[in-house]
Amino acid sequence: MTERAPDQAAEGARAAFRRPDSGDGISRVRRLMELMAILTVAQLKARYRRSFLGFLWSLIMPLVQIVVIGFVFQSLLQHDIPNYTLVFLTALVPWIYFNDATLASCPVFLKFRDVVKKIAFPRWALPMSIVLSSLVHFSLSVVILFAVFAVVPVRFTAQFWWMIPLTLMLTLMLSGLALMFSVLHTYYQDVEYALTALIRMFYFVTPIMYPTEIVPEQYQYWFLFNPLAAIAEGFRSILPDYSMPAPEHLGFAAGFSVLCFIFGVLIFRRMQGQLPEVL
Amino acid sequence: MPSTQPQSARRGQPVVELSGVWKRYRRHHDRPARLKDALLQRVLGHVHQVEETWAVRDFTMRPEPGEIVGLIGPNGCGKTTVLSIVAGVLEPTRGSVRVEGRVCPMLQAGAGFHRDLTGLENIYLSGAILGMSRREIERKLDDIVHWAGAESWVDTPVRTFSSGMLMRLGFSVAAHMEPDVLIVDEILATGDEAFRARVRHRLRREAEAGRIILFVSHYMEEVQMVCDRVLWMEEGQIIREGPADRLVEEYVRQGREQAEFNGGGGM
Repeated sequence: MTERAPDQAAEGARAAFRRPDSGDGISRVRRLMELMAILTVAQLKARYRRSFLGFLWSLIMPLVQIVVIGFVFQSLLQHDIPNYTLVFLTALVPWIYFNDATLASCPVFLKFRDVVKKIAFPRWALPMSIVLSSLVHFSLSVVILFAVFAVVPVRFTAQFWWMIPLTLMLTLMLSGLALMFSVLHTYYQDVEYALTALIRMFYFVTPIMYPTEIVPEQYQYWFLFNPLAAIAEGFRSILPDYSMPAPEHLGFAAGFSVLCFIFGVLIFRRMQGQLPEVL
Repeated sequence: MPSTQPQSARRGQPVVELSGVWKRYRRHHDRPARLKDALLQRVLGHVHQVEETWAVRDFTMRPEPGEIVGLIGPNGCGKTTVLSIVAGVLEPTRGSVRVEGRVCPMLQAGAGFHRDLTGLENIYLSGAILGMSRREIERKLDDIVHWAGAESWVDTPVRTFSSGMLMRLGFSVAAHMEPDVLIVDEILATGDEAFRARVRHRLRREAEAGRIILFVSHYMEEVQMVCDRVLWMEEGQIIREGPADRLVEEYVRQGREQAEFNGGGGM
């Protein structure tokens, strides 16, 4: 029964897997979509279920932030920024999306450790489900916060459609980052801490709680190199400025997102094969 | 040359074929676990040592459809590595692997489950990760719940489950996948006798349906009861193989003798 295969001189190993359901392209794609959907819903449910206020909780925090920082800027520092609440809010909500998706993607393989070690399945679905669940959260926040801010008279113009390409760019960028950070963090488990600190610092040099206009002119040039500044300013031009995002912002954000995505995919492909052994 | 292709690869018949498989692990002695250490090592020009271990050496097996094959051997002899290679999670370093059919690895009690989700939600989650479509899960849902006897608690969060409940539900999801190849690696450790008897019965039925079952357990009576054939591994190699009842007995006897010898020598 066991005639031993003579030692193969070549290191090359062959592995051929044929799964009964892997041949059919359409059903495979469909199953992948379902896997993503189920994972995304699971992330969202787990996120909101255990907290008393659930989803509302994550809306209250940005509102509190806006009130406090608004007070600091307007009253203590005497910076008179017109429409400050909206200026802050429209940039803060995408920022929270960025913050959530990058940080939550770090521990995702550690959380699903047993599964990754035992089952062969498309591993990229895990970091991607983090991005998608943050995207759902972001979309809900946009809808609800603008409803809340109907108190501030907001006109809905055709320019609002620009939110969609901006959101897609941001999502593409975050997908790249999530793929990258999820594997990196599995290898080096302080990536999450380093990232937390970096993002916090980055928050202050990105025009989130202030618009780029109030930055002294000699520094404004440097802000062009910050892709998140481009996205934040893009959202801001829609609201409260009611105009189309600047083409240089759009172009830069799109280019950077694509690059970021490609880079993330490359790193992920290079490193993901080792995940079961590293975990 | 690798062994010739068997003619048994009829459509629909599961195939598991490992020939001359080797698996090397690189244990990085002081692999930087943190970015800080990685940077420090680079700055200090430190070259870290890599220790190579062959977890599996020249491993060949070709279980027949309908067969329950047990892998036995001491801890660290490469059983789990072999199973991970069959599952497609690990790549062999050398040798060839051919697996045809749907492979379903069973996880330890509750391993694939999300603590904060309910049992029902977890059925969907682990079903999808195992490769079932939503429609398939929906179709089998009642059977899964019923088999696990989970009707009364399937709507509560998994974190409130006992390990027995976790195991029952986990096993039930995997068993209802209708896999062609079922991998059972040390999952019954916390089950009570009634549950184990049901699992044994189930495995036997799966085997009769023409599936290949690979079974690992450190409970030797269990291996004896479940398996047809046993591969005895030591240091990554198959050192013996044969019918389960005879080989397990020998394995147990050898283990006992070794223990007596070591015990006597140590005193």
